[in-house]
Amino acid sequence: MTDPLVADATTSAPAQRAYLAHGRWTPMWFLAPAVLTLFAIGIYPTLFALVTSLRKYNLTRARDGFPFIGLENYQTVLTDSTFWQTLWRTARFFMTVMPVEIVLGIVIALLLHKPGWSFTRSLVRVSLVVPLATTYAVVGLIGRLIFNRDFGVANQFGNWLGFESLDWLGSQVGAFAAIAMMDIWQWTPFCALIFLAGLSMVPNEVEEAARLETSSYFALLRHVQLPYLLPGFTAMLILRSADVLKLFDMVFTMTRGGPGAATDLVSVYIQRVGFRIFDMGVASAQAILLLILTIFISRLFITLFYREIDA
Amino acid sequence: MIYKNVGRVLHLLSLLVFLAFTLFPFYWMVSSSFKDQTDLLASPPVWTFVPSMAHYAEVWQDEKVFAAIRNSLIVASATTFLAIVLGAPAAYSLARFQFKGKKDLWFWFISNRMISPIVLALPIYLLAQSAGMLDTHLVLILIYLSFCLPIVVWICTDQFRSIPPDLEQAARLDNANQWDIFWRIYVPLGVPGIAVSAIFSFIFSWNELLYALVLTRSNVQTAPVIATSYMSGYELPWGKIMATGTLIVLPVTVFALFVSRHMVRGLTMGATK
Amino acid sequence: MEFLKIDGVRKNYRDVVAVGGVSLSAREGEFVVFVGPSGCGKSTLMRLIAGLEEVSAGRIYIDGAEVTHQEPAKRGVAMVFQSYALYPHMNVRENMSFGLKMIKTPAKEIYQRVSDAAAILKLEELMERRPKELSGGQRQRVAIGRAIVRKPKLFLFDEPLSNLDAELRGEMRGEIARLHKELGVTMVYVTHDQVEAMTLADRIVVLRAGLVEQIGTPADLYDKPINTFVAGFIGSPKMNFMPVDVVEVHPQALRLSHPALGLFNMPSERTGAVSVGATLSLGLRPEHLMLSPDALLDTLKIQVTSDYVENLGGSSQFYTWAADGSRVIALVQGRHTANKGSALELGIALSKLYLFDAQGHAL
Repeated sequence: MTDPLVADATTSAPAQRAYLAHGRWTPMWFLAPAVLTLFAIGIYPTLFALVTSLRKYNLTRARDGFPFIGLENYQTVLTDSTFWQTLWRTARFFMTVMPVEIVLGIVIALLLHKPGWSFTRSLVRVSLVVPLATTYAVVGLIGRLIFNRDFGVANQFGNWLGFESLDWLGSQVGAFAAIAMMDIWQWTPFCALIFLAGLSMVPNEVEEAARLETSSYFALLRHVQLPYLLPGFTAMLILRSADVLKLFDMVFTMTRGGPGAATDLVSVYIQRVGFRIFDMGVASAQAILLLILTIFISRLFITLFYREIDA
Repeated sequence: MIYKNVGRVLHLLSLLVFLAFTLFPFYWMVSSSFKDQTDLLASPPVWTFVPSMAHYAEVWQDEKVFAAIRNSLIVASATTFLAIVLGAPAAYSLARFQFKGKKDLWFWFISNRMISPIVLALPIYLLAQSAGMLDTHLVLILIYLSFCLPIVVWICTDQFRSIPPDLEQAARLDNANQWDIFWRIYVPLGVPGIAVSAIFSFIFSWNELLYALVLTRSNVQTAPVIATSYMSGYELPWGKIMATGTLIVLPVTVFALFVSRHMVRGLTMGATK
Repeated sequence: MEFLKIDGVRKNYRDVVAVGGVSLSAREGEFVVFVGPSGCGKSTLMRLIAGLEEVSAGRIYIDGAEVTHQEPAKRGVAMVFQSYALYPHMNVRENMSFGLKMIKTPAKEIYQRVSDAAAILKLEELMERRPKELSGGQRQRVAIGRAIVRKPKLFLFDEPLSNLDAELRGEMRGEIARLHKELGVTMVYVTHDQVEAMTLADRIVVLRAGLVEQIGTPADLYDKPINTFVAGFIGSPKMNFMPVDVVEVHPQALRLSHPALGLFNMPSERTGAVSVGATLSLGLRPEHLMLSPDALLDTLKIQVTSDYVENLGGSSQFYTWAADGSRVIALVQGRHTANKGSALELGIALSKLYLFDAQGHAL
């Protein structure tokens, strides 16, 4: 396996070969079905959303019609303090869970990378997919049971450690903490897997060379392994920030966004505006703004991570 | 010397702690589903109990749950199938052909994965409503396709790019046309990637909640929707909820355990340079 | 005085025995080469010395102290890896300074030592570059420099030249020999290439399947191999072996016969264990075979049929068959040709013959 950090100098040459032995339209035949489908399901509705966002579109007031009102919805949204609070809350959520997921992820990755106890390590590695495959909605339900004031294990653990029972889902801070913990439970394995992949890219001999020069585990971590963990770290940040903007299922089933607005994350909020309050116009504007934010994030991801697709 | 042994023991202990951490909520759900009502609502919660199948019996009798699971199965399978059929050729095209605008197309595919579902949920709802397609399998399949296709394309492109280009040259010398090359070389060799993307597509479709919630009423409710439907009122039927949850989650999780190695590959693909 | 001592060291991986009971020692300043075919355990043995793997049994001593269970970094050992193993994200200077930095050497001293090493290895112009900007040979030198800088007690080389092209290999071989002379540090070198072993070593350890076959100076191994394996391994092209039957046994000589050799007498010290009718192995080195046998020395004449001839410019390699089907390869000075199937007569001095018993042990 070639070390990507060193092999660059020698592998660029062969990639220049051209493949023009196909017809000009051939790529199109292969791509067309997928592209057309996505266009129909993706672009078209997005355009529709764009148009809706420019109209007054409240389903509960349908008899008022759906007049075109220009950017008024956007104005409403951008001046709506609730919207900004929601965004800020989502950002706060991100900043709460990310550090924990990253640190735990690295710790788990290191534990899985260190030789020894191979059966247990395989067991742990395999079990890491469980949180990721678990239906997010069900995760929320489990969370609701765990954090229940009376018969939830969270309080039981707390009591064992000497803390008093809390009404997790009834208090603002408690609910926020609860959804944070469930998110951490669900996504730490993902972080761990990404970091583990990064660690396995460290060439064995480089690790051994370092072992001959230092006995310090931390020095090894910092100087030899860290550079290989950095790409994973950046990928994590970007992917997870996109995920946090998407987060709906678990929060919905666990708290519905409450109590009050304590756990009202962006997607939960927009869903409520669109499907409970039925103010589609405003909700569409919110969604479009969210879309812009997401595109910005994915552009970032591609610039950093996409290797020459034209190889 | 002693340090080495202490280190080893600590290693094992920490591994076990994380194992417990990873599996705990899952375990709690499954064990709760077997507790009878009093054990379930015991405060503080009990860890040893006499198992009871009462809740499963309740679920068994509720045909809505089975209908929901059946719907999930239909939707997930159809979506996965279509995603592969449409996505694999597209991935091949992105992997091997040169053409203008490839990078932008690629960007578009990837962005789709990142888009928050709520963005499309609103217009889709309105469009489907006017087309009378609300509460049908089709609408769910289509919308899930919009998320699964990018996943399939992403993973398969990576997979196809790792197939040595010389094989294609050799096939061309043997007078193979483009379709032959794709079907007879890339597809068989690309099976790992195709399998991984199929796994992810299926899992995604099975687990999806938002669209199912928004776009279905009573006919086509999928499993996650059923799970949330119990959540209203004060006296929640915890036992039934946990049993339903177990039924929904168990098949996919067991499946994931079997294919975990492939899943790990798929998850880490493209995220480390 | 034994500087490096390995006592009964074994290494098992589950059921596979990688190293099965090896004992050897090296003096201070000696250049010892571990040589053998792939899988013989030479690299494993070196990694055990370095501490990168744990021994399953046995002890290792360096400079009088037992290091069997000590961490690699504490053994005072430096290693040059086959793939160089340079830290990819550090430049040459940082690569070379890393080890010293880890033991908290003052910056000034680090600078001094690194500069000295760079001068010895002619790396001064490359100090700010990253490994990926260097050629194979340059990376190799940086890897060596990294090792020198730490002033280790023991220098380990794990097939350092395998990744270089032929020309560079020859050059680097000379560099390593020169380095040894200048530094005078004990060096242990692992290779599968017997040319490297013969040219660099003070002593060679020949390994096969995890066990030591023979330890000796290059000359010892060439002149007095203790079995057919060592005899065949050392020397290129490989030694020819021809089965010969014992016709008569005398106290100081044996009368042997072979279809292509006829009957001949061979002087031998140890004729005691040999019985009439036994089949022995006669060893003939290709480089000792002559086309026109010299009548002055005691020569043995061999009748062969020519298969083909490789022209190496100043010498020729003859591939021939003897009457019983044995392959006989001869390396002869000068440019010669022969038609396929033509009969040739080769000759070899009796003193240059090797004799091995049916088990392959030298007589």
